Amino acid sequence: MTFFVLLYKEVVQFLRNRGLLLFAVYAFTLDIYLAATGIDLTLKNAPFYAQDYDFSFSSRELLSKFPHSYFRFSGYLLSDRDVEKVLFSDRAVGVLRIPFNFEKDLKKGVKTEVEIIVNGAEVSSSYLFSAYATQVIYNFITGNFFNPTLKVIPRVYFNQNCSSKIFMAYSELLTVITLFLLLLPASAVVLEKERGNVEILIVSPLPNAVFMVAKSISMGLIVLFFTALSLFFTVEQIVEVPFKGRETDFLLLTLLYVFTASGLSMFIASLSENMLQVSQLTILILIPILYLSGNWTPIEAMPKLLQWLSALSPLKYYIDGALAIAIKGMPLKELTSDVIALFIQGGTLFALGNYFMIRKI
Amino acid sequence: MVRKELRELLRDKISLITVLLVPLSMMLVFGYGLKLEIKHVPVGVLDFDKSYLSREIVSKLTSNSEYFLVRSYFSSIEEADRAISSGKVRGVLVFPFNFEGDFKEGNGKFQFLIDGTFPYRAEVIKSYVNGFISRENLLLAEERGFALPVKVKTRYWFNESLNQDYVVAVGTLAVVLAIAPAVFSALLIVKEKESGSIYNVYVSSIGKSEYLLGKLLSGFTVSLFNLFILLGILVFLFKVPVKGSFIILIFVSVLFILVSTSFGLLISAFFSSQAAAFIGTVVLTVVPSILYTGYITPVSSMDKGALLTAHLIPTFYYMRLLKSIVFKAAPLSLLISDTLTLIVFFLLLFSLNHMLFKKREK
Repeated sequence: MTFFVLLYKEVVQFLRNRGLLLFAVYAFTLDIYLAATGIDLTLKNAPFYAQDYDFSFSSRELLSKFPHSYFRFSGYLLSDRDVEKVLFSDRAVGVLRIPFNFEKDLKKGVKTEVEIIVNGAEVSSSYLFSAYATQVIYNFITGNFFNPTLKVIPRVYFNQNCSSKIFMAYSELLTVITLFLLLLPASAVVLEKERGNVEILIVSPLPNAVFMVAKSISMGLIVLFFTALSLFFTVEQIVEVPFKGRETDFLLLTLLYVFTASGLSMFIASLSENMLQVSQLTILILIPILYLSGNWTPIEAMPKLLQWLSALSPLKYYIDGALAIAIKGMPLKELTSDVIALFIQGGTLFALGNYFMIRKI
Repeated sequence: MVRKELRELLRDKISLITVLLVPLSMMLVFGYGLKLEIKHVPVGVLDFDKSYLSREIVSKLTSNSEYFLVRSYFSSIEEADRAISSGKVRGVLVFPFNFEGDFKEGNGKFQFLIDGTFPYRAEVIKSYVNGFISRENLLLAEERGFALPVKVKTRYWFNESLNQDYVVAVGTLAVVLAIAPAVFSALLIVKEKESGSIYNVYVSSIGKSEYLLGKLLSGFTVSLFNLFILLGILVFLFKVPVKGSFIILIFVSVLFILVSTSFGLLISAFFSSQAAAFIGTVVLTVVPSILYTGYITPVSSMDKGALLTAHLIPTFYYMRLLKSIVFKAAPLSLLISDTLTLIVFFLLLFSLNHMLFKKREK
């Protein structure tokens, strides 16, 4: 009974903190919407210019071959100065330079050279731009001369047109969940420390363990509630990202993750004396967890040591599992390895984190 | 004031360490870690043809490059599907029956199934395979005595070797400087509100401007120290060649710290709980400064609305200044307007602070 009273108290306290509530709502709605619709690592509508010295039928034909989904032809440039200008001001990802007598040389079979100038100060788009542009030019030219005998038909599973929206929506949601799970329980505990309420707690008949566990569970429930809100409302309704699996599976997995992350949060709480430390430690723990999860850099591309370390990031299992459910439509029961890993990590961290916390008091 | 804050920080060992560690670790992890190149992609093979040609393609695709690794061979399409679903492989090469025969008739088609969970990775993998097939076709054509007359040459401007690590490192510097000073200073005022010591300030003779300036300078001093460490990392550890002037680089960076510190203070003056101030700062700095500044997505691909939003975010200008100075050695005349904008941002944020902070409880 005491336990439920405590749960109720924590939830009410959270709801009364209007600033916190406001940002929680923002993070689980608008923030995810912005990330999903704004971040796109793939090449979409990349503006490019042409410096066409030939200005022939063939050169225009070549330019028309650049597919609209990836490229956006923005106009012709006359001089090298103009090329410099559009690249300096980041108005173009690249410029295509077609030489004099391009058409003539092409017909005669004389060696000629098409140049792609790429804005190297861009990260993701520069590689894809040069790769696709090269591909387009080769296809155009070979098409003029012979029929390629070898063909590959790429087929992308789960996400046919490689829309970043789907991935970014879920990835941002999982990141926000992690941030809140690391911060909320720790800050709830440390606030009591700062205010000196912990002393009162020690002399009260309430067992410390009950108090601590109530804190992590109440915060976990709040995050779970916001996750559901975000999933049903932001992701499915506003961003309009399809959900392939079963929502209950997703929430069950999140529940498991709540234990793991709030265990970590208790560690933070046991180390910190004030909120400054909580905030700095939260970032300090969040960064490696995010990085090692393989969300940004694929795990197989990391150095060997980091590949092993990535087994420690709880977010890795959570992302693997959650994306498999949401994007690939897998049922939870086929994700046993992720579930078991989360279960072991969660159990250990939750028990240890709370144990440390209780001993510290 | 400044001395009091700094002394408080120096006494609090854990805070001191973490305040210095946070920007450092962010810089190292993302500067080193955020690699967009895709390597060692685990793939599977589903070979119905079992011919010389199909084996040849698999071995050429995997032995000559560090891009692909063959993880497993499948015997049915269901098995391949399951391996992609469970994340065991990221791609599967499917050779149909009579692939070699079709090839001899001039029409050798095979499929490449790609896991689309991570769209950027899927696109890159697709481009690898397409590039590979183009090269193979050219080689085959050359064997038949045909040489392609056209060469495609790619040149990278500003960053000749296309060292993406440099671009990422410079971008990370901007993002870290947007986040770390703001997060630190976001707690400076609100912590006094929560502990109640703000009442001492309310009743003391200290002026509003004095108090705010003191807070600003203490946050600024800590971040200044961090700035020099981060710049050191950028130049000596990541070995980013700075083409422009160092003095201008430091000047705009100092200016930017002032902007992000006063942003943190503004949040601090506005809210009355530290947890809210912290979460608010993180949410309001991290996503916008990654999203709208050209950190990983090109500014030129933004639509009108996004571009408008970008112009409201100080990091956008700082990122542009940084890239112009480091990669393009841009002349002063091109930097002036962005620098002035940062100054305006600072004045605006600080005077907002001045307006919002009242020496009494609401």
